[in-house]
Amino acid sequence: MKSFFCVVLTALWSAPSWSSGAPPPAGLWTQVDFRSIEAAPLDGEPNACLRAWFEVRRYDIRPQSGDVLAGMFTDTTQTRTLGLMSAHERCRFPEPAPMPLSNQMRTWSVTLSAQGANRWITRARPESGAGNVKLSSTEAFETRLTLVGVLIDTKGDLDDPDGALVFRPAAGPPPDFRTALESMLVRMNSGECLAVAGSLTMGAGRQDFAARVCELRRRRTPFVGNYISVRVSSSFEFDRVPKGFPALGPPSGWKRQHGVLCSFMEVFEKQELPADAILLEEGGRWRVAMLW
Amino acid sequence: MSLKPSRRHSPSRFCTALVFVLLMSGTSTSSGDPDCSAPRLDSAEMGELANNIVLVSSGSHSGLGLVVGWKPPLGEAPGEACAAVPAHVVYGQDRTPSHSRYRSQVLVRFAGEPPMRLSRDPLFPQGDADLTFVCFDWDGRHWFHAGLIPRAMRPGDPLQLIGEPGLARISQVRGTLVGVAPNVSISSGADVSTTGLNGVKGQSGSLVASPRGVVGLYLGAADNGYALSLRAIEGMARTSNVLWQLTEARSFDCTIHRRCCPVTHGTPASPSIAFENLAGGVSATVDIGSCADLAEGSYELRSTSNSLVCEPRSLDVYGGAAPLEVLVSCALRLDGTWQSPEGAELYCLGSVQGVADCAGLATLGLGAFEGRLVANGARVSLSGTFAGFGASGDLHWSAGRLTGEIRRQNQSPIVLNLKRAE
Repeated sequence: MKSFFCVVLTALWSAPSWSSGAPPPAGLWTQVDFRSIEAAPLDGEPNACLRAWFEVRRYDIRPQSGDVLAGMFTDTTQTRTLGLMSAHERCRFPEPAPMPLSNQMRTWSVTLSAQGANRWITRARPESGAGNVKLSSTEAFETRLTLVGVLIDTKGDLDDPDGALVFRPAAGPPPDFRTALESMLVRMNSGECLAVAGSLTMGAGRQDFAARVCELRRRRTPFVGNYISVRVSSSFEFDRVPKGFPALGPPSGWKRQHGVLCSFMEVFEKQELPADAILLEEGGRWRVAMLW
Repeated sequence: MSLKPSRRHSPSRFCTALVFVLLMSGTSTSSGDPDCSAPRLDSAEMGELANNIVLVSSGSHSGLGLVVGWKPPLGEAPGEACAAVPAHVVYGQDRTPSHSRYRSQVLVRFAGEPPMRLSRDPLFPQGDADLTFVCFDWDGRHWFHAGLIPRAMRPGDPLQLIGEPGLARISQVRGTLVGVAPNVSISSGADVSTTGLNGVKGQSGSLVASPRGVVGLYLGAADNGYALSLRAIEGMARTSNVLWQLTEARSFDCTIHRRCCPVTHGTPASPSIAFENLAGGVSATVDIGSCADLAEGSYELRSTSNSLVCEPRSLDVYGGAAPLEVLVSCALRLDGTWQSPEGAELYCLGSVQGVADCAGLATLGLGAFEGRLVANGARVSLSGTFAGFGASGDLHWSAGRLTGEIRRQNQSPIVLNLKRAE
């Protein structure tokens, strides 16, 4: 039943038109960049506070009269905290966004002029904005949209990850990521901690990373009891990561990478513990790359 | 699975309990019988256990050892791992060995790797047991499996050796568990007896694997194979101050039941929760606030209401005296397509429980809506934009419908009546 629902929903959104007969590319299209991971100190501990920066771009395109298409474009730069301590009220990040949870939403109205069967010139005019930080200004722009199953927004080469934004039809995260998360947690809590922690991208190059992680988890076992479940509280899908990911710092170019940031509770018999994970899709399979 | 009355009811409360059980029969249902046949050996899982095997040689003797404890490197200090090894592999028949002599001749290595430096002298043989411990430097790169100890051992459990002479791999030697003695035998130095587990020279120290975990360390065969249990080895490691990291293996015994009680702290509450055993054949539907006895196992959980999505979606049930309170949080299922009688459509995608990103409602005359629905119990707030202008609304969920008012900035509200499209 669950898989049937997913198939139906996926099919619904794979044809991103608001009503039957609406011309392409009418619909809701999303593209998300995982921009960076930012660290800040807390009580003398240098990297105790962590947050991830995302940039979410979305086209909401609708048919107007005749062949005219118009709609909205939104660009939301936002943070999500990583790990138990990072939402602490004493976590303070550098200006201009010191609060752990920061966001800026910019909005444009757009009109699309057809340039052939699957290509449009898009003109965007600034509209209202919102958010608790101001990181970027909202300027008018012009771009080219090409529909090839996905919607590619580019000013240059279609295949250039730095210059082309690939928008997907809006849809919920694929269910497979959750299977990978659950499987990882079962393994981690049933004696395979070293193997699982050693496979995390965040531990690459650090010989003792897995041993330390597992030693900490082993010590808490008497207090938390058997692992029995996971309670997922949110999942956030992204499409690109900076080159050099997951190194901290500003991006120096992009690579296409499908992934999900997932927040969840690890449920033990005696306690529930909050955690976050980044899962990446590689070769059609999901794996947990980072875990806090 | 059948529901069982609590065994803790006192005789004086028998009638009360009987009435209670009769009343409860309307609130929890179950079906199917658990498959409690003897578990089977899984070669993929057994292969991972081989990670803990070290190859040991000492003079003319050779065999295998099981890594039972480790500690990570700390600063400049190297890490250390300790292996349980049959004493005869290290010392032969020498029961009063000299440390210095054996430290220089014992070689310990992982398969395909060079020998490691011993971090201390091999320990003396452990009492009557054919066992010693050998500890060596560990840099944290080689991974060990901690979950090895079987939660239960039953006569008749199938057994298989992991480890062949000079190799850390699954052997074809199979057998059956006869039993585990309370004490180590003086003659064999073992406490586990088997049938059919007849290894060859060089296989001493192989892991005796069962579907429930590693039964023990293989010591040899007379007519049938014998081994030293991990529980006995753990006792000796603790007495000798040897690192110990092994924990119980993840396995379920479906003859053991646990009282499970789904509860919820929020609204809307699911009327009941369906527990489906992933091993197949067993399911139960339990009302929120009621309890049912579930066999040990891994379960998938879901609300019996199609309008709700609940967390957690899975649950591992282990035996235990105290009832297992399962906190279930549910929220309205907001994703999908919502339609009004006038033909307005709202398309929603839920990424968080009780929250959905939505777009649509273009036919209302306010422009296209884009924004978010957030459920708090049966109340659903709507926020976002109508063609760039602020949008807000308060909706109420009842009987599968979302009804209420929405507005675009300061304009007059519009009544909305949405039903999920099936």
